[in-house]
Amino acid sequence: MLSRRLHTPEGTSDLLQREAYRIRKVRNDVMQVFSGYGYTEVTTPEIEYYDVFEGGQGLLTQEKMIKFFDREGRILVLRPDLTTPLARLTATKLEGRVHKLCYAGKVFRNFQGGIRPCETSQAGIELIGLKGAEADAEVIAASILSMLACGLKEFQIEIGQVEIFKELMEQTGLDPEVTEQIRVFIDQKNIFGVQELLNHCDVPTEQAELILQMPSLYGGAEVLEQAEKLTTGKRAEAAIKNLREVYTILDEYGLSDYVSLDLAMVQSLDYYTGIIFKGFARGVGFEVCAGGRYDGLMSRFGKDSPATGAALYLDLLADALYRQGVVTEAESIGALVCGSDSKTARRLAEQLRATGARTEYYLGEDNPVDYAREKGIPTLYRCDERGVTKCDMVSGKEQLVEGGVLL
Amino acid sequence: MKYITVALAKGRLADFAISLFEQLGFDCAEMKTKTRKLIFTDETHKFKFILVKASDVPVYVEYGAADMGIVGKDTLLEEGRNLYEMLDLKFGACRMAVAGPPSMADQLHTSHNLRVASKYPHIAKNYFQIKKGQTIEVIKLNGSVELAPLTGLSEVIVDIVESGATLKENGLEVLETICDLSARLVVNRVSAKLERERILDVVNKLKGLIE
Repeated sequence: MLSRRLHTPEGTSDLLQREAYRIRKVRNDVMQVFSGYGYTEVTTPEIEYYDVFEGGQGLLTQEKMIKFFDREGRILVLRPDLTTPLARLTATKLEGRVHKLCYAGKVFRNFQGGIRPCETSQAGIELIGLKGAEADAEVIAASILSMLACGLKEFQIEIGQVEIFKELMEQTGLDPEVTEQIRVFIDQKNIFGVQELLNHCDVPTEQAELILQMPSLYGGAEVLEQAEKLTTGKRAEAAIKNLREVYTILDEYGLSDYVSLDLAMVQSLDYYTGIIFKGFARGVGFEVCAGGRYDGLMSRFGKDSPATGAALYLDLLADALYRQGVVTEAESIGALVCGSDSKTARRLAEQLRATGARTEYYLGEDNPVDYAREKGIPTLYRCDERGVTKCDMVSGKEQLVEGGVLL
Repeated sequence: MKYITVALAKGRLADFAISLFEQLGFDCAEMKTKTRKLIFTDETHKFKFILVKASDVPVYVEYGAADMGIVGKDTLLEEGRNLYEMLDLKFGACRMAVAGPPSMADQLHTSHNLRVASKYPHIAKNYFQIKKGQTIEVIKLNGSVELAPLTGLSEVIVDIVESGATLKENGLEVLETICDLSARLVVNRVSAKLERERILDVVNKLKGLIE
């Protein structure tokens, strides 16, 4: 039997130097953009009470959470999401009306024997306290710009609006079970499935036609015109107006090349109440970011407030970058300092570090030249009774540094 | 131009899919020869076709290793992957059903801890536990499922039924129909966005062919 001692649990993995660096780099690039937009970082625990997420749907259903008990027998979960804890934090701890928060951290999901990892890294922003297209558009713009800052080239953000579907289904008066089936079919772009279902239901022609059209309503701005002709309700009208405004603002940002529309995007976490979006990047089969407006979530924690946000999936972004040929090699060690005059060697190492160079003070007992070669360190400093000798590992040239110490 | 990769379920379904793509003007000649190759390229259209086991088609497509795939609805239901299901190709129409000895017809709703043998444990579980709210024990088998009720391994089975002849010969009958099945065209969610025009073109042409 294979010893479990040698393995990490199913759905988790170690990140080796290069992978860990890639993800750190993505996280830093993304967080810098968020910070530049005026979003301030907060952190929440990785462990939360189950109650915080209770009643969630989609990726937040009970069976998708990793759970355990505390001493008192209360149910704890490894957080499956960061938006919900941030809503909790804002509602219970922050004064004032408008908050711009960002975060980076791990989320955990119980994908047993699954195709996707249980533990992933996310970074995101939450814009709390503001309604309207400007707020929605800023969150999307910041997401696009942060992906550009990582170096990602080929990607698309798809924008949708849950209100169109929600109102439509209310108009039909179908029961929740059928509504859910239709939602799944529309989400799968399964037109014949929708058709088949509608054949068995009593839905007015006007609504039936829109339901049937929904899976095809994706593409550029022309989609909005098509949708305008089909929709009948006030909320759908407002939703389309909102989409149009957001699209225009993103165009003014100069980002409309990265944006398209998909009115059939009706999956997502159930807390979304308005605009929703997802990012797709060439090279990975899953979305690399997602977000939207969730005006109802805060009230679950005792404070009614509009909110909109985005989450970027850092592991997938790093993967997409790699597959798109954007190479991020871990920064190498710049210099190795060794020699019998260990006091000078340590001092020199400190001085080199102060210039920003990654510098190793040699601690091994074998030949430091072999070590430098093995690790690919380009420069070696030897400190001994002759003073400080600088060796170029590539050319093999050696040179005595005047005055003993370099600087 | 990037290659678009199409995953085909090996066997009858692949032959049907190849004939469809040939009608659309794709070069599939190599696929019809006796070869052990698993990947075929149409350089003019920049399309690749791969032959995989039916249950692997949704996996390739979900991961984006293939942009689209052709596979039976039974496999899609069993695998439960997150895909776009864009076309019913109407090929291989049959149904998923609960079958058993005629005596089970009355007991089906009242039996507790019903034992259900199936090649499709997820479908069986979903149907009985979620749709009907009945707790069952699923026994996963890999073939000749009809034997299970005959040998006392299970009370009923969940399986694909075409003509019903095999059932009849073994003294079984369809007790309940779960759903209709046929071949489907599935598309990866990312590919559907990033290669929208080329994929929609194929989808629409295929749609034209089967209608």
